[in-house]
Formats: sequence, C-alpha cells, structure tokens
Amino acid sequence: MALKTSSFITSNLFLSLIISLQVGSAIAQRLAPGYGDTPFLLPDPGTYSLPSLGMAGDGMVLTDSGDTVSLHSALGENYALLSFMYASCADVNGCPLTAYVFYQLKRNMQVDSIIADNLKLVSLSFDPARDTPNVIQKYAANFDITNSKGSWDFLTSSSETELIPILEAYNQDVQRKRFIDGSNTEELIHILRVFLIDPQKRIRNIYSVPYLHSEIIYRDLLTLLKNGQISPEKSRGEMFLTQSTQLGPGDVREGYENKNFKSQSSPLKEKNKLTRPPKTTRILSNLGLPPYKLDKDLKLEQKIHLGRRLFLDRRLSLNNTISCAMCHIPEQGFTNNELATSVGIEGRTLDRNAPSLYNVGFSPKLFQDGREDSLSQQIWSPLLDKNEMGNPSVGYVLNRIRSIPDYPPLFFSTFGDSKISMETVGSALAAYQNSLNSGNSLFDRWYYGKESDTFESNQKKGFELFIGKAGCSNCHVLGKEYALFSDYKMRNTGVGYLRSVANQQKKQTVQIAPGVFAEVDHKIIQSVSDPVKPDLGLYAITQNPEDRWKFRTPSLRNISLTSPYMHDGSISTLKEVINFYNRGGIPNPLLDPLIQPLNLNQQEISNLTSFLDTLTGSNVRELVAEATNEVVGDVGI
Amino acid sequence: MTTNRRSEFLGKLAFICFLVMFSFTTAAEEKLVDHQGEQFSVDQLKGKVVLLIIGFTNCEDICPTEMARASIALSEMKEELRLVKPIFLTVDPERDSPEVIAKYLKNFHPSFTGISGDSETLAELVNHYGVLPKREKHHGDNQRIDHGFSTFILNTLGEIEVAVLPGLPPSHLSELLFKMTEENSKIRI
Repeated sequence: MALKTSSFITSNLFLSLIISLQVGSAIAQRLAPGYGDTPFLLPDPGTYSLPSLGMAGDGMVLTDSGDTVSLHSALGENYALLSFMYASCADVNGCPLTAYVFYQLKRNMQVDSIIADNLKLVSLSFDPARDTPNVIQKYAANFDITNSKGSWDFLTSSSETELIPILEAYNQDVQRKRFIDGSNTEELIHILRVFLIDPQKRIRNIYSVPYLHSEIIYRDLLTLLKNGQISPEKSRGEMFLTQSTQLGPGDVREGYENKNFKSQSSPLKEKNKLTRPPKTTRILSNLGLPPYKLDKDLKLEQKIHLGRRLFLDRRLSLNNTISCAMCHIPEQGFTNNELATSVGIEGRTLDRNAPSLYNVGFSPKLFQDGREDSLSQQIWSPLLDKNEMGNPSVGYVLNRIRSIPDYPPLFFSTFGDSKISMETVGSALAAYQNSLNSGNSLFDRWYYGKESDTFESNQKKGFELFIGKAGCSNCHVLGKEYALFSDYKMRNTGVGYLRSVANQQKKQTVQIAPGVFAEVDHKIIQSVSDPVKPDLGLYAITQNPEDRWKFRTPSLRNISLTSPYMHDGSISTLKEVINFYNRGGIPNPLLDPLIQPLNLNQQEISNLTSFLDTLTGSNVRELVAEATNEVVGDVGI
Repeated sequence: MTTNRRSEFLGKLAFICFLVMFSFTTAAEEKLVDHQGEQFSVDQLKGKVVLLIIGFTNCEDICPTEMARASIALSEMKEELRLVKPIFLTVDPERDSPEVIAKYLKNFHPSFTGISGDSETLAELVNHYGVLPKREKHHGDNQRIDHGFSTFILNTLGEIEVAVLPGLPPSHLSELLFKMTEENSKIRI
C-alpha cells in the first residue's frame, strides 16, 4: 500500500545540505514531515470517510498554451490536487515542499496507474506578472522527457484582477515581503494549503504544512475511490449521536424515570474498542468551523499528545485523585452529564457546570464568567483552585510534573528543552484543548457542504425557526463561512438571578432508582452538601452592578452531548431549555433585552430540538477514542 | 505537454533564440569574465547542455539551496557529465568579483563556471532568461537582491528548455540532464 520514495536518501542528503548551507540566516528551519516519513500512523484507505468541505472556487485561468479556460475545466473530470504556486518561493516548507510532494506523486504515477488515471496535479501561479504562459510552459517541461506518465498541469492568470477572486475563494491571503528599508520585494508570502477536489468540484481535503505528505494524499485518493459517491445513509448513521453515553462506558439514560428501565451500560473494557486512528480526522472535521489556528506548528502532534496526557493525569492534583478529564469527561461531551455542578478535590462542591471543551479553542472568552482569554493561561485556575484540583502553587505543580519520570523526556522531545515551565505546560494543555475541534455535523454538510439530501424537513423547519421566529441566532450566531453558534457575549437570562433570590423549596424530589422517587426535606439535602450560593457572574470580575448575573453565551455545537445546560447545569434537557426561552427566561431588572417570550407551539419546539440534534460533529468518537486509549503513568498498559 | 505542442513550442523558441543569440553574442561577450578571470564568451556554451543557476554569492536562501541541489545532481552523473556545462551567473557584479565567485564555487561541484562582468551586460543577459532582479535600496554587505526564479536547463542551442522548480529533488535534475544529453547525442548521430 505504501508509496515508493525512491529518491528519498539523496533528497535527505540534499535537505540536510540546505539546512547546513543556510549560513547567516537566523535559524535553520525544521523540515516539514512531507520530506520524510509520515508524521503519524495512517489509517488504511477506506476505513474513514472524507466528507465534502464545500464547493471548490472557480474563475478564469490561462493554460501553458495561453488558452483562457475556467479553473474547474482545467481541473479535469477526475480527482484533482490543486496547489497555489510561487516559483521562486524561498521557504523550504512552502512551495518547494508542495513541489516535492507533487513530484513524489508524479513519480509514482509512472508505476501506479491508479494514481496516474485518477488524479491530476494542478499548480496555479500566484504571480501572473512573472509566470506568463511561456514561463509556465518551462515548468511543465520538467516532465516532457522524464516521468511523463500522468499529468501535472501548470496554470497562470492574465492579471491580478482575474486571480484575486480565485485566491479569495480558496482563502489564500497573499502579501508581498518587504526589504529592511520598507520597499516591496517581488517575494510573496502566503499560507500553504493544497486542495483535494473531487469530480463534482467539491473540496474533500485540505492539506497544510504538517499534513502535506504524498502517502496521506495517496490514501485519501484510494479512500475516495473506494467510497465513490457520498452515501447519505452512511454519513447519517455515523453522525446521529444524540447522547454522549453512546460514546462509551456509561448508560443511555433515556427512560430512566420508568420502572422498566434496563441498563445498557457497557464494561470499562469497551473503552479500548474505540480504537479508530483518529489523528487525520482533526483536519477533516473542520467543515463549518473557522480555519484551524495552529496549522504551521510542526510539533503540533507531539504537543497535543503531551497535553492529552497531562489532561488525563490525576497526579496533577494535590492528592493525586483528580484530573482535568474527571470534570471534562471525554465520553460525556467533555463535560459531566451526571452532575449539574462539578465536584472537586475531596468531594468539594463547585458552583458551576463544567463547560464542554468541544471547540473551546475558538472561544475568545473562557470560563462561564469570561474571566480568561487564553487556554494556556486558563489552566492555572482549576489547577490552583482549592476546591478544584487543590494545588497550593505554580511551583508545586511544576515540581510535581518534573518528579514524574514520564514527563521530562516528553517535554524534551516536544519543546527541544527539558525545562518544564508554566509556558510549556500551558502550551501543551492548550494544544490538546485546541485540538478538540468538532465540526462537519449533519447541519454543516447541508448548510456549508451543500449536500442537499442529508437534511430532513423537520430539521430544516427547526433551522428556519432558529434563525427566524425563535431568534436563537441573534446570540448563537452563524457566519457565511462557518458558525460557532455563539457571539460569546455576556448575557443575563435570569438563571443566575433566580438562584440568588428564589426561596429554596421545602421539599425536593430525588430519584433514587429507575422509577423510584422520594420527597426529601431540603434540610436533609443541605446537611450533606454545601449551601447553594448566589452567583453574580460577570459582576464578580468587573464589580459593575449592571453586570450582575451575566454569563457567557455558549456555543451550541455538540449541544446534544453536553447536558445538563445553563451555567449552573440547572436544566437537564434541550426541550426544557427551549421551554425556558419560550417563556422569556426569568424576568428580572437586568434581563437581556433579546430575551422575550417566543410563542412557539409544541410542534415548533420539537422541530427546534431536531435541528439542535444535527449539530454533533463527525469526529466525536475519534476524540473520545484518543482520550480513552491514552496511556497515563502505568494505567492502561 | 504533448509532443505536438512541444514541437510547436520549440519551433517558436528557435526563432526567438536566433534573435537573442544574435544580440548577445555580438554585444555581450566582450565584457563577460569567468571565475578564473578569463574572458568568457557565450559561444563556449554552444553544443552543450547548460545547467544555469542565476544568483549571487551573498544570497542566503535560494541560491545555496539551488547550488547544493545542482552539485548533488552533477555528482550523480557519469561520463555524460562532459556534455553538460554548469554555469553560475551572478546578478551582483559589484560584490561578486571573479575572486569572490571562485571562493564561493569551492563549496560546490568542481564543474561549475562562475560568470561575472560588466553590470549592464550581465543585466541584459539575465533579463534575457526572464529573470528581473530587484535590489534592496540600502547598500552594504547584507544588501539583498530579489532575483526570482533561478535554475534553468538550456539546450545545445542556448534556449531555455526547462525551468526546474525548487523542491524537485536532485535525482530529478540529474535524470533531466541525462535525458537531454542523450537526446542531443541522438541528434548528432
């Protein structure tokens, strides 16, 4: 199955020469994985799917014989790999990397007719002034007398006016480099992205520096050829996860209120059955999400791996009992489906619901009160909070990590320096949390991927209500290119107000077993738990009375997996949440003006719920599998 | 490119080249000098496949990379090497005297000939290959010159046959040079 890399040894020699010859340039650059071995274990072709990431842009281009054609027709009738090229690009991990990877594929076309017959390589120049049709003819001539099987076409454009709309359609921001004196050079700067496009002109994968590798592209091509057309049945079955307990150990709790409830819980061993190789899905699951931020970081996979271990490691708490993952439970939507508010070290009660970490890397504000803005700083809050992980100081945590023999070598291989510092611990944990991106939901495939046959009418009606009558999208906003379903603004819905002012009921209903309820006196409950404290939200940060009971507007992605809801976990189901907003929230003097009674009927509420169930990302199983398969310390070996 | 298109393209090029060869063999050759200080004439390239690298010795990124790639490619070649003429053509005659180039070339394959000379003549020559250097305004040792694309293979008539993209490995370059020398010997037979 592997591609031959016949020129590999010489190339490596060549590349080490490049590095040694860059005398005078400040730092010799680390080479991208595309020049060598694959950066991680690759899944077999056909064991994964490559959903559409949206339509490929079009525009008018020039061929090497000077003909004006549309880009789509130049891509041909089969699969195409499209790169944007700048021939005198000096960055070894830029255009030369693309040329190297394309060359490996071209070379394999000489011996493997599957690639030669099904894939066309296409390079479009960024530089119409220099790259005239006559010039790009000379690039194409590289393969006139050697490696002539299969095609690698070079394209240019008649002017920047023709080119710019194409670049925009592919999200290619191009700028000119400057000399020290400020004058423009002819050199261009852009972000490397290579697009795999199917015969229907849909983008099926986008490769950035750490993932641009001939073997990955080869396997993706075979996968697409195996899968043929997108099967809506298959994609739906794969995605229709509406409860996180379906993701692994734990129970599906539907019907728990009835006496005839039967447990479907699975043993802990089942965790290790979720073993689908997950890494490539990280980039494949981005439909509907903003571009992945860290894609130029060549050590990204190592950082994510190290961060994941730290995230799962109980030894990071004062008494070695609590890890981050015990409140942000991977198989429970990276929150805790069983508890309204979290429980910290030694069983201490916390005031708020653990926020889900899905897509947390896109959130400009962290914590329910928005007090932090960076994942690498944020981690110190739970690590040092006396009720959460209980560590007494930063130094204590760092020394603890240093004293665990697994970590110093991992930090060394990841950061090139065995120093374990606030910065490196923060960077690793942030990289892992940034990797929990989960888009490409049923909704994304319909709305952004233009797959018309995947969405049912009640889901469409629900979406119309979401952006229309129910007004949800006023706060849970959608963009043209992507949607995070939140503007992350701080708002008062009345939930916090209610908790501050309402009298506690004398008796509370508590469910003891399926179908068995008991009325328990509130005093008894109070005697075994902390009293419920008022939570003023943003006010605690700003001290501005106007900010009382304001909390961060959450993203709705994967919302079906992240119950219970609201900042204090006080509402258990999505239907109840919609009912809450249908009533107009809890009236209070500082209620957000956007919260008004909605007059939705039962059918509309049901449609809206059906729509919210379509926001579950396609890679949630893989993200859970990554976590459950991780070996931490001697556990899991 | 298909064979048809290629021959059509070669036809066009032959005509253009005739004009160009005419212009630079008359005006330019008097004022060019190789790295050993000898007068250099473009005539010396006739009948050889030329591996042409355009750059300057103070260049930190593209040029050494391209020179290194070319050196590896040349070292992979056997007796057909005698049909290949590797040339390093400077865009920076102010700093790149024959002595400076000679020292620079010691780092690379011994078959390289470095060419410097009168700046106007050189500018004319590199422009002919479609290379339009742009010089940073400040002067000094670290002055950069953005010269764009740099590695070409010329056929025995002095025409650009291939522009070799950065990133294509040295083995590709040696394979190309080998095939071109092979084609040329066929023509001679």
